Amino acid sequence: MTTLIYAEWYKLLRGKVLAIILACVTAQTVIQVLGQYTTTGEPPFPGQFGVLVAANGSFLLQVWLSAFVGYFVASEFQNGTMRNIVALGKNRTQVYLSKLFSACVAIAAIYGMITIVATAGFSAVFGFGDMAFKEFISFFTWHFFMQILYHLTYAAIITMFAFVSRSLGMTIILGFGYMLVMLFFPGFLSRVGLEDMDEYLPGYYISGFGQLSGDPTFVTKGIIVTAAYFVITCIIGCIIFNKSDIK
Amino acid sequence: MSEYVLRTRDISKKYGGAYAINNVSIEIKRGQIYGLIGLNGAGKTSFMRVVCGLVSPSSGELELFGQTGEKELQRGRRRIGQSIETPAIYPNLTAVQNLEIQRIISGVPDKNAITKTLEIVGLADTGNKKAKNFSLGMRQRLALAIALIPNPEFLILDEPANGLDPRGIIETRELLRRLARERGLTLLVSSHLLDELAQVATHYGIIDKGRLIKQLSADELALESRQHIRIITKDAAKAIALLKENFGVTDCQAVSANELWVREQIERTGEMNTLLVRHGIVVESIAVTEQKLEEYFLNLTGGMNT
Repeated sequence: MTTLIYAEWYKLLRGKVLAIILACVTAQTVIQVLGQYTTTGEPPFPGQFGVLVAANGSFLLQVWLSAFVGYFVASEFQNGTMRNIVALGKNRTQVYLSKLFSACVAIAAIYGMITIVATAGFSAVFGFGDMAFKEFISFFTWHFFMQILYHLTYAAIITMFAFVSRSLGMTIILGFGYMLVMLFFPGFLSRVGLEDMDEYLPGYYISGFGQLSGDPTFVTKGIIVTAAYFVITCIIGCIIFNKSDIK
Repeated sequence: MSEYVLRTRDISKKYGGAYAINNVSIEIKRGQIYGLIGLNGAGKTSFMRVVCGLVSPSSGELELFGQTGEKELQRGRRRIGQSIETPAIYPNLTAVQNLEIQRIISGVPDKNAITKTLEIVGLADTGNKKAKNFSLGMRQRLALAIALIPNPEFLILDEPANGLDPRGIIETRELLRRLARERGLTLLVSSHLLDELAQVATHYGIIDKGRLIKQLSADELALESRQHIRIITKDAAKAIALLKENFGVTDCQAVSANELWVREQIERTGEMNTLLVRHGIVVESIAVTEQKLEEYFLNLTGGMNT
């Protein structure tokens, strides 16, 4: 397993995909900062809250991750390099998990880049804010790692899509489909009187964390829901990959 | 240590209602260069995929290095190098980077193995050129290098000369011979270039419509494709009957309605010609010739026997 993870790390560093995506999210965040700055009537947004920007823009973050995983995972099937790995006698579950590792690293990197650029950008434009340093560190650390944890659900789901579809385009389409379902499903649940079911959707914890990060019940439920989605998706993805033929 | 690198017993792979391979039983001993011959869609690549664990067989048994069982087969595959179908490379990485990834995954500790392997396949001076800018021949050679990096004992190559120019074909042939000789590699090679394969292979397996129709050694092939009398005539069946009656010929085959081969009594070609003409059979051509692997294969898969 360590050789597979090391190989994935090598591909991440040597390949340009993640670098290009990080450049794109940097540009996107800069545009967001400038947009907020130039829009009159918008309240100032201190840099200390930059860690919330990525969570508020979770939809776009997921789009970028779909593109990354679609390319980084699905292309291994399209260019045949998955054959090279599996034919070496590597355990397919370990291969799957090593790819999931890449997706998790990517989501952390994308989230981190947005956070850094947003914190720096909004600080430059609106000032850092009046949070004490120790308080900021605690606030930043808590929000940063919890949001990445909650977003791991999406990393697992999009990895499963990539292994099932084995196509860059299809991975992006399926990812987009999932995002749209998660966007509109809570509204549907409200309409049919099942708004409490919201708590079983990972998006509920991503969007609500900003207000409820101090609520231990909320946080704990979020971790459980994230873990459940992550594990179930991994199991499904591993089973499908183990049983499928690689041409 | 098992004498056999690969043994399959009635391996089949079914897709829907159709068999890609059907009850294929092959045995490859250490040190053999086994040539797998078949038309497009015959099942060569499907068989190789089953051996490499890319595809699960629908039925049958597979033994690698004397071991069966899921975990043992997985361990055995670490001793295999393969290049199946199109070259499997990372197009946006260089040759060195492609090999580095394979070296890491294979667990090969020696980083110098990359340079050595690139020299072996003739890609030592590609520098920073990305693999997507390689010619087809260069990609083939890179794929071969990727297969060699794990220092395998068993090499499985699907059409290794595909896309190569004549010089490249000769170099690949010499390389395979050298690998078998110097490293004691066992090879399973499929090819459409049958006469090229004939210069390398020690054993052959002929696959047609998913079935293994013949296995033979190079010596046996030489015997079966030995010199024969090739007669072109308008009535091959009558000619065969006459030859049997008058010369006691037993090793005789009607290749088509107008062509027959006689594999014995080569020295009596003239007498046979005289006999046929005397009985009113028009002999359009009669000559002593040898059968190339291509003709042998075509006859086996499409010719008529007496």
